[in-house]
Amino acid sequence: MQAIKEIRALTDKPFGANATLLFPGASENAKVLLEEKVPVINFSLGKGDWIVKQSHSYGGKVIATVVNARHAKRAEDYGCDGVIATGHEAAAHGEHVTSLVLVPSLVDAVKIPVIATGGFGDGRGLAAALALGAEGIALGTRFMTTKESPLHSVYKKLSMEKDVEDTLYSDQI
Amino acid sequence: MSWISVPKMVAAVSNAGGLGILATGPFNADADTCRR
Repeated sequence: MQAIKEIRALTDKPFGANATLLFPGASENAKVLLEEKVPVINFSLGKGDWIVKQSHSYGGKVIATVVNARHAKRAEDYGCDGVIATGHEAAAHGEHVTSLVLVPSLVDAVKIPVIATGGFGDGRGLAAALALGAEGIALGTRFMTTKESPLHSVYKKLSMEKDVEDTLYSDQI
Repeated sequence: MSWISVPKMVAAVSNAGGLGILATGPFNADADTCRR
């Protein structure tokens, strides 16, 4: 809740918060987000229909992060306002299908907006996502090297020096 | 983006015209003193 207050002190623009429902305490956190009337809630890895109901009651929006058409359709059935299609390129969150293939398949599967994520890092990526039928993109890795990112400066430096072939894969959650 | 999408990052993204998304993974609602 403190974090939300801090965000509201720094911006009056819309913002969101996530809820990875698989993890312990996530549902409790989601309840706080709803109490705080957070404008957008992005949930993943769980059943978020109750979040959609409560969020919509105060005019909030809910977006589900998904990796396949089955989950995307379920999110649409819950009443979600959009889905984030997470391709293989996404750090930590993608499945085995790459964004180039996944995005149009989810665009075909649901009528709600699809936000593409996984490998998109600049205006070219945005143009590509839009061409694939997405309404926008979500970026994670791209922000890791920003000023506001709390990551260590050595990490940021290495991150910028390394190239596309230097990505390491891990099975760790 | 746990531990990375912190409030100042979230606000910066929203101020820049995007939608900043707070990572709530590290938070513990039960320990949240604001609620009490």
